[in-house]
Amino acid sequence: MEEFAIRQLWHDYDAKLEKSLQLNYRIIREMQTQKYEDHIGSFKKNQVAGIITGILWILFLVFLVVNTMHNIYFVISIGMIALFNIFAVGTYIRHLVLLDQVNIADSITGAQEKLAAIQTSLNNVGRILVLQAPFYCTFWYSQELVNHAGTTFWIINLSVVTLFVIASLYLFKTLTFENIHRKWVRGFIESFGGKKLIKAKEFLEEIEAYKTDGK
Amino acid sequence: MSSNQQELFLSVIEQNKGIIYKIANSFNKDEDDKKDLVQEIIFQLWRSFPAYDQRSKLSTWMYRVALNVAITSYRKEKKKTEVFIPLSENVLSFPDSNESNEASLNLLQQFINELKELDRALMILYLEEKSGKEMAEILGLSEANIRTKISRIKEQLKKRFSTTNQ
Repeated sequence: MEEFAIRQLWHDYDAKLEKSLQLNYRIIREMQTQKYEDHIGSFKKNQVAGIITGILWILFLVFLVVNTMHNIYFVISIGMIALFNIFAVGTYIRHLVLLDQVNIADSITGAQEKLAAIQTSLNNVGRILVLQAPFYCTFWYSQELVNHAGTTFWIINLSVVTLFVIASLYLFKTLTFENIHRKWVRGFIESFGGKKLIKAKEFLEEIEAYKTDGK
Repeated sequence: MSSNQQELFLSVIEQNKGIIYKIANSFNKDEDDKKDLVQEIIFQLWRSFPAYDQRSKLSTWMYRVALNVAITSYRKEKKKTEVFIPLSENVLSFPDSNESNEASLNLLQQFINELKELDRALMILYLEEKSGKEMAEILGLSEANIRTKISRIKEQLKKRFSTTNQ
């Protein structure tokens, strides 16, 4: 079939649609006044849910710190955990601001690139949060424990903490999209709900290639 | 939105209802998803209509919004969204599926549906006979890039139709 025939086919289809499609004006008017949940807003909603949960968690951690000021080990550990979570909430708030700046009437590659970039940067939140893991091994220390626990206890305990530090640093360094070709990295990110992020990253690369291809 | 603007918006939708349907049809196979997408596109058009500044053509603005919404919703995981409009009524009544019974049209639609999202958007614009300049504006690409991609898609299309006709 020739190009002209294909275009004619589409043109006929268009004419047929013009005749048969009926707009429901009442529904459009209702859409203008009623609350309507849209696809684009649902990503925003997840961000808001993340921010609210994060703030509640931080408030709880701060409450614990304020009420346990006499234990320096607890204050430092929980304080550090709170700081990591403040960073995460801050990033989510930044995403909301960036989402508001995405103009749906922007060019397709422009708008889709921004949306995908926001989604992929969420992976950094996960990576940063991994770094808080060692502090979950130290928050229960006390002055009494430090003064009286034996050498064996400290060897075992500090080995566990060291293991957590190494593991979290390794995960922080490795769980990046640059390493997505590694099966376990992909599996790890996917198993922690990162499937959407991987798809967004792949789409981002696709857009980049699309923009440069044929130039 | 003033009542004048609302009337203008409705007439814009009326004049371009075919485009909205064709985009929804190219990004969704499932009838319910298609209806949801039509609602979504019209809703987003309505939301961004007051910000339309006439620097670009109305059709450019419309294709940008409609295709952006279609691609974004296509990339979402399949999940029913709660719409507040009763499902028994549609914002756009669709033609019978028999309408597209013609083999060639079905084949063309199948070809479009198999393309990647960005190529799919480009193919729709090409079939809508948009100029290279407007396609470039809508997609955010250079005209040279558009020309290369169009000729590539046309080759694929030609191949598809020739193998089927054999």
